[in-house]
Amino acid sequence: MITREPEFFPESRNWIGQLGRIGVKAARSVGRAGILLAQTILAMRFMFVKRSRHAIMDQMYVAGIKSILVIAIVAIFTGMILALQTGIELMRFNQQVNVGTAVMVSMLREMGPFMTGLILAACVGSSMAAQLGTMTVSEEIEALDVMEIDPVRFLVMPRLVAMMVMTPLLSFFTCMTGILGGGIVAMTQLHVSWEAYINNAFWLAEEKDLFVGLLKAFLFGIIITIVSCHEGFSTTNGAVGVGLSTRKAVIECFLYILIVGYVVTRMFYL
Amino acid sequence: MIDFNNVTKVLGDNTVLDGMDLHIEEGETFVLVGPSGTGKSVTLKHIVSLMTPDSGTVKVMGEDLSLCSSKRKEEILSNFGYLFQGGALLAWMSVADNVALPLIEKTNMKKKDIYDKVYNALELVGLKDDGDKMPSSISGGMKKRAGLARAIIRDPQIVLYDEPTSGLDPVMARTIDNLIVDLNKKKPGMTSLVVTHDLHSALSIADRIGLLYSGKVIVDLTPEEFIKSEDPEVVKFLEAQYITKRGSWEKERK
Repeated sequence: MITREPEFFPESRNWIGQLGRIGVKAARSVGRAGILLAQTILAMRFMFVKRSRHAIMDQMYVAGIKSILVIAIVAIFTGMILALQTGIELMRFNQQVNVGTAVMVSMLREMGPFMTGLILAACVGSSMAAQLGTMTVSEEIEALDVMEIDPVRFLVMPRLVAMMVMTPLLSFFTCMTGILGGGIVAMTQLHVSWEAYINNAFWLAEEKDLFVGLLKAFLFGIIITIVSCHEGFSTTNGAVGVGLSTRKAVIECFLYILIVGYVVTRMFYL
Repeated sequence: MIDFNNVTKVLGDNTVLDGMDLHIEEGETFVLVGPSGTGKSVTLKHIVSLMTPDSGTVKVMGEDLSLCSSKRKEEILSNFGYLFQGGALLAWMSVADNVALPLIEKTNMKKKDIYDKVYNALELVGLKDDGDKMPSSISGGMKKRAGLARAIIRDPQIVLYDEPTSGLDPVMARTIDNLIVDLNKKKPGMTSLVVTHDLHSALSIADRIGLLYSGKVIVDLTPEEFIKSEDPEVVKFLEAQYITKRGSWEKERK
């Protein structure tokens, strides 16, 4: 059962109490998100059931296909900016032919997964938090609980599976589109041929860069889903609460993406 | 069927239920009335284990749900239907799909059988031609009727109604009342607990009426007794809704 009783924190009388109250709330929130993740992973045993498959396909369309255009635009311009900024400096040393390496490695290792994660947090995560938040304040989650339909299996699991699949795929798409954008700048602004740009791009890039980037994207997909769904289920106070939950979900997703991204980079590159 | 034994529930600084006792027999329609904020919806939530008491016990069909295993709790809850105040329809599913949801998720019925049953339930509540509509495009009264169809689709033994007529015009409110009465006639043995502040509705449909005040059920009377009661809180509640008739109260049935 997801429905929780209303919570009341006593007013604190001083700044120590306030700090303690913030700490307790934060710890409780993180703990509950962890429990939600565990429950959702357990619910994945139902993902091959017909109605779950339909739900997963719907979520893959919402998370993936509907985000492609904005991801493509952001990726192309990110690649173009990377190539331009790096190329301008390399031109001083007549080394602009190496701009391909800079763009490829940056996109694969960091920019691809990060850009994808941040865009999906803003587009998809906010939508998840808003939808589940609205369902919570409209008693729809309570209705599911009373009908003994597990909201985690019914709502969260399809979203998690969809994001686990689509985020790495979109990250790869971001990388390739960014490299294309970098190539456009290389050819038109830096006077590097396409063949030279691509040969140079693959020169120092390793398979490890691709797989670590995809691992990051996979983890970001999990973060976005669990954080957004958790904030949605925790919504109180009607429409105002839905707005607050949505905002909180996006901010928390951004923070966790940055932290986890750093940790993974540290683990694999140092 | 449903027993509250000295139940206390505190939410924040408010003692919402304060040693409440309530006993509802199988097959009767019990209406719990009271001013806003007195704990009527909290009472309903205790029955389906959406809340647990701080002290005392709530037993349904002889069992305390908070002490049952998940499997046993699921078995007991399968006997319940719950009409939420706003209907609580899932916004992205059509009316028919909403009503079908409990059957799809909890039974192995074939799709054709499910939707035959769905449209029978929709016909019962007067929404036979509205199955394809989305919740956002139907009125509040239609949402409640769709919610009622969903609540009864699994032929429950106990149906809980949370403010079934709130926010509705008088004509639609009486339509909902008549639906509840008709349902009880068609399914004798079904227990209904209605929570409302609408006394016109309560007097029309109830076998017994309880007034919730200061965390307790202070009176538990038949409609005829209720309207003749001299209890000051009952009198205040009746007068607030301009019900002053002191003779026999004839229940209006469609």
